[in-house]
Amino acid sequence: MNSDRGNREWLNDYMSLKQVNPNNPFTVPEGYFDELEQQTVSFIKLNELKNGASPEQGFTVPENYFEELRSNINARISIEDALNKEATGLTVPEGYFDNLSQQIQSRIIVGESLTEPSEVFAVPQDYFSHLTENILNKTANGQKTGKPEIVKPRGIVRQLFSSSAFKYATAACLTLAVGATIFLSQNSNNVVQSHDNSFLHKSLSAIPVDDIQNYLQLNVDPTDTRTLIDESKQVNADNLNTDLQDELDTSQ
Amino acid sequence: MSVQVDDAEILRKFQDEKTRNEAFNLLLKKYQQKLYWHVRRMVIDHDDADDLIQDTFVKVWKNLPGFRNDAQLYTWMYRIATNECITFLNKKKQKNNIPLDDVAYELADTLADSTYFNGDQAQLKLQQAILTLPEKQRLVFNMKYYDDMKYEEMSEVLGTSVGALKASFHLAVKKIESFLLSRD
Repeated sequence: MNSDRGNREWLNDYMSLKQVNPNNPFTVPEGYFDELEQQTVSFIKLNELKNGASPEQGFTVPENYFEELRSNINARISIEDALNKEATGLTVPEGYFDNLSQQIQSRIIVGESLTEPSEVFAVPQDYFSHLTENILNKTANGQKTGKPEIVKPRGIVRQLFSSSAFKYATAACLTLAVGATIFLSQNSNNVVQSHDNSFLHKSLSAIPVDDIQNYLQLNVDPTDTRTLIDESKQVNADNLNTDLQDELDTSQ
Repeated sequence: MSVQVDDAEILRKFQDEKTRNEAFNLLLKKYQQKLYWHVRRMVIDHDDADDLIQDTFVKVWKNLPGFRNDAQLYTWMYRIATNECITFLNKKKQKNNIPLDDVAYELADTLADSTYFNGDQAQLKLQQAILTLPEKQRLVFNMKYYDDMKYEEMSEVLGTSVGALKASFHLAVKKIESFLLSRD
């Protein structure tokens, strides 16, 4: 901008100022003044719309909103102040709320793992709900309705032995077992019976048991047992009575 | 070069609702640059000046219907722009909670960092000198030095007597001269 110099004689008194280039040193973005006119008009119209329209600009609020707004704000401030204050005197350990979230999550995980079924096997969906019906259909309901049963093909059973030979063998074994049992029982009876009929048994049975015990305790050495066994002789029944009587006489 | 329309013609057209927009566009074409540079020299920053000049013309649009022709149209608009600048600078002081003198330092920093200043060292120094002046003295100096306004016109704009304006101007020039000589 080149200013209209006019009467600038006063500059002659101020040489330093006079030496300065009087042209405008300020600049503007390219095309600024070309757009300024349009921008200004647009700005004015916007300003008119903002100021000319109703203050609400088409928006509405609930009835008595602004009357209650002040009290609502004050109430909220009071509530937040009360919450922030430590009026209750209750405190928490240091860092409590910092760890609380993690603790809760850990507890949830533990709880879920405990409640999980230990059974590792699974069944098809809705298996148990249909199980009863399926069973009944295959059994009672199937017979009632006369539904043809599904017959599974029978497997082939092969016998290891022919039925007749097996029968004879079994009979023979049983007979042998019975006979052996009878024979053994008779022998055992004979032994007992023969013992009961022996002279020794008859003789000793007449002597009281206490006498026999006393005699053995006084006269028999434990080492004699082996000797007696080793030198066991056939008992002579005929001389037995004489020998025994002699022994009794000498011991009295 | 476009033929500028007479102020009376502009006012007449503005009074008619049908031609109001046309009149205003004519007004913009005629005075927008002059008023812009006046604002720009006061606030230094282009973006601030852009905002203020638009605010100025909004007020012109609103108040032009009530213009009583008791002053020159340009003088009247110049006053609106000047008041906008003073209001802006006062808000700047209050917003940043800084003393009066520090506003000048802030503007000087803006000047040094500005990408829209292509003056030489002497011109830069001059601007720095101007920024050391109080607001009213800055206005007076700018209006006289750059716009070459008559003291009577300046009196209409600033609402100050011609004598006070002359004294203020010479005082401002002395300060600037002293500043320029001290920094040589």
